[in-house]
Amino acid sequence: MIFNKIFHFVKGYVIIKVTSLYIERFLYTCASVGIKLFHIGKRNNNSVIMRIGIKDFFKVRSVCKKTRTHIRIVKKCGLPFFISKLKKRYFLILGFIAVICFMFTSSLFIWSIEIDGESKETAEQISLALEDAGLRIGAFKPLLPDGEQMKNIIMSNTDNLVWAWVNIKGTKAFVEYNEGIKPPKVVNRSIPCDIVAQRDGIIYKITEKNGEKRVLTGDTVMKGDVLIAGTLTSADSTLKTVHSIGEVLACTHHKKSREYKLSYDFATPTGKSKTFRTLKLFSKCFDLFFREKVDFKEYRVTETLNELKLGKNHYLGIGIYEQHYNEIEIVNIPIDYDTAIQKAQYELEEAIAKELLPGSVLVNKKTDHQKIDDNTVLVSVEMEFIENIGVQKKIVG
Amino acid sequence: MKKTVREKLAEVTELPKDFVMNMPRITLLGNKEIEIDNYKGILEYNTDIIRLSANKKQIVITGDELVITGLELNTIFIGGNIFKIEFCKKYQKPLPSEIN
Repeated sequence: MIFNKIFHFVKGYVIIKVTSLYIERFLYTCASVGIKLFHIGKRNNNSVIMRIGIKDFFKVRSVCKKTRTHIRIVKKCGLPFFISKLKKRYFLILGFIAVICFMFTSSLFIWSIEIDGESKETAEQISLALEDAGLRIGAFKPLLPDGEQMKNIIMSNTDNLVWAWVNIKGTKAFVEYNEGIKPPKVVNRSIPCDIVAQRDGIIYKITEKNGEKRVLTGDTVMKGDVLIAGTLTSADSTLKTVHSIGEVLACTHHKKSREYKLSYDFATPTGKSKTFRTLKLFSKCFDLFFREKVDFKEYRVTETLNELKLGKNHYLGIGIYEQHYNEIEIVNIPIDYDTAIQKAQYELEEAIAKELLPGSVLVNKKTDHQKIDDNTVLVSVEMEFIENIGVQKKIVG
Repeated sequence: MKKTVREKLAEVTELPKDFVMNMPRITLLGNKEIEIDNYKGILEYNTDIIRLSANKKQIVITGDELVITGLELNTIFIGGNIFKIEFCKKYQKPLPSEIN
């Protein structure tokens, strides 16, 4: 059915009103002459509305004379009539051609560059390398070096890259890269140093590979105490400095406490929102609002960028950047005592975890809670870890 | 029933009967659409009744909001709510009671 409609639209048709005493005769005569009629509507007294193709319409005159029928055009439909209407609108056609030309020429330039990766430093290095390669905002695409050349330029100008590639999708350049694993630093053993404690603790185990140990298992040490000394006294009372190497494991104690409310702040959207739109035209941005003013007391901001593209990947460099301010209302929901303790414990443990040295092992954990008033509870978390507290410190002088 | 020569010929030659016997071929799509090939002419056209002439017979289609959706030399397409399809003798109108 839909194909029929499309076919008729492309070929063009005329909706006509036929008035005759013998409509059946008219219909049959048309059919016998080879005139195709369709959508013959309801009969209203002696008239019927029907559709006829453009070519067939010129043949119908002889049939009308023969069957004494009167025909009136109700509407002209289809592509040929649409095109003939457009032919008279020169400026519309000119505008359409200008828009197409503009879009075509603008898509020959690079309007944005996206570098995908974790390290900021590498991304900066890559952007400098891209500048050298000629890939910058406003660069003419046909003059850009090919993918392999671009890759070589990036790889030679950036440290520690395993692979890189530039994908150009329309007016957008996407840079993908993979970083290699950095090799460990070479220890310069000619520099004399001590191993000192970087935090308080009780020595659990000490293994010295070079240097002289100054503490024993079970000793209590403070931050800054020398654990393995790099200054050695030889048999003839002369001092000799060495590069101390060793591992000092100590039992460290961490404690955190905080007051918590027996309630939970929950943000619910009120439904009110404001949107500020910015037109992104190639590399420039134009605000589509006069003043960015938000009257909401509490709000959340979400940002979206809708870019115009042809097909799936051909970016045209035009887009709308939207900032949605959604008003929220903070609702205080009461929670039970156990839930509050659990939540507090989780938060305090996370805070302690941030202070830990790499490779720490948990030995002991203790949680205390004390109700201060009807709505407040004091929670404290104590944790003991085995940590490698030794750190090298250069011997001065 | 006595078979006509054309019918016998169609059976012997195994050719389609509608072609050999010059009979109409009616295709129904539920009660919404009907396609009739090999019809001879339109005798009456109304929203309630469409009367077509076929070989030695008359096809009477009764229904509601009947519309001719397409009209070609040998084929007619009718849409609407079709209630009844009847074959009558040629040039004999059915009684109004028969229609309703």
